[in-house]
Amino acid sequence: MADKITFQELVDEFSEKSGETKAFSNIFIKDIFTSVQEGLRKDENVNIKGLGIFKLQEVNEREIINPKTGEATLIEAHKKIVYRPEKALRERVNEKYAHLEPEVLGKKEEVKEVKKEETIKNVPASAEKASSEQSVSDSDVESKKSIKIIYGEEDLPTYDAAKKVNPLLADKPLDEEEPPSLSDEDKSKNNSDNSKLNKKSPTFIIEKKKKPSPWRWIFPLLLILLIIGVIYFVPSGSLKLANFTSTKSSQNFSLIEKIKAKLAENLPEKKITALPMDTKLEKTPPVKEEKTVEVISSMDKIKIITQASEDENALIHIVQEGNTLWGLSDQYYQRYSLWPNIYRKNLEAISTPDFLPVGIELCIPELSGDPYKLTKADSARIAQGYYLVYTAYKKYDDKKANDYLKMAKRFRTVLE
Amino acid sequence: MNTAELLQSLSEKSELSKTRTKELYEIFTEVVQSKFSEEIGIAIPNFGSFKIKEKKSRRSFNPATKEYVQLPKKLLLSFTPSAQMKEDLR
Repeated sequence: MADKITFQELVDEFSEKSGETKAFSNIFIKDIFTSVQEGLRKDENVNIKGLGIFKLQEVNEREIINPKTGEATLIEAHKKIVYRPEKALRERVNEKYAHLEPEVLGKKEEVKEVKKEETIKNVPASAEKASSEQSVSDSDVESKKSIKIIYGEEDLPTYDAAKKVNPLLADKPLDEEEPPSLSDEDKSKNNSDNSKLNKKSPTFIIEKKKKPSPWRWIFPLLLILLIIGVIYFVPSGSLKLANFTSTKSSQNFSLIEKIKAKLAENLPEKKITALPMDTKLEKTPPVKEEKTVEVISSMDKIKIITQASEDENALIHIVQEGNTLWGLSDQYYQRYSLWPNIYRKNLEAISTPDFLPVGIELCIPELSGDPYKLTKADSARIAQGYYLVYTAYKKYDDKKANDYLKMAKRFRTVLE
Repeated sequence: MNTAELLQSLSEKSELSKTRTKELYEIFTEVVQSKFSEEIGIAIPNFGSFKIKEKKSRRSFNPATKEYVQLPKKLLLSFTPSAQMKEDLR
């Protein structure tokens, strides 16, 4: 396969077979290819027997960014040469593997089930190490728990790595993510430590996201379980967490109660440890709010962060494969057309509205009112979002741009 | 441009009869194709290079029948134009 002959060898073989002189053969073969090139220049399409089709294809102007330096270079519109061998030649080239037939694997569901079994096999193997004290039962909640322990354990090495990177964190204790078997005292200790860490915590959350390869399997599984959990707990009102406004402390307590309820339902063993934590929080709500939120986040993978700089509350969503701004808007606001609100908040992370990189954290601002009866402030923000989308598309001379300008105006008029 | 036009221009360049040009052209394609079938690539100066590549076996999904299919590996002939030619036809 790696073999390649030179032009001279081709000429030699040709002259042998045709009986012509080498000098003539050389010129003749050269003529063939120069003719092809001329043909391409003349009418951009050369279809010849024995080889196939040579074509010129238009390439649009585009901008490339060097990921190392961040420099943008413009590639001008040009034509490129495309070659497709004729069918007989394709078949002749593939003679060696021609006997291989496509193999039907079966219907969608069956294949998916096979995949699922594979991932499930992975989990118990690692869970056995961690959950020797845990009584394993068949219920969903139990399996969720054991996976969480793995999360805690496996996360420690990455946290170590984070420590090396950030010397400021070096002297802080490791027990950010502890297995639930800790005593009450330890738990409360952690809390106080965590509150010290409050401001630094975001940095190492980001570092945690860079997981080693085995996580690729465990992470989706966790998500699936999470979704099941969320569906399961919807009637008990735990989803309403998203609607709280943390500026008012009275509402905070209701949140804390909800967390408490959730903890009690979710992890019976954490119940005891959760209580002292909550009492502590009630004494000094403004500082520790974020901490409770962090506790849930480590369980739910959705972080709720109160942003002091702006009045808006925001959730943090980690982009999965298949996520779209449109879809996220439906998920969080139950209304598709509000997606520029998310885009507006994440301008730095998302360069164009069409492209959402997997793994980045999206800040999802909350609406202050009903998604279908927008408050003035929300409406203004969404109009601003649409305007930003408009400017982004305008940069690329996209025809869609004007539609977004219209949308921006529409939300403005709602405001008036 | 099609084969007839190519042969026309070839016979003009080499000053041979059309039938002889056609014969020679057929010998040429036979030589080239036999090389390709032996998984041997050819490099042509100022034009480009032909190379045989192996495409790996992959899984594919047929949305009409909702079935997954494992496609076998296969050999493909690929062509990379030379820098001069690319620049010339840009």
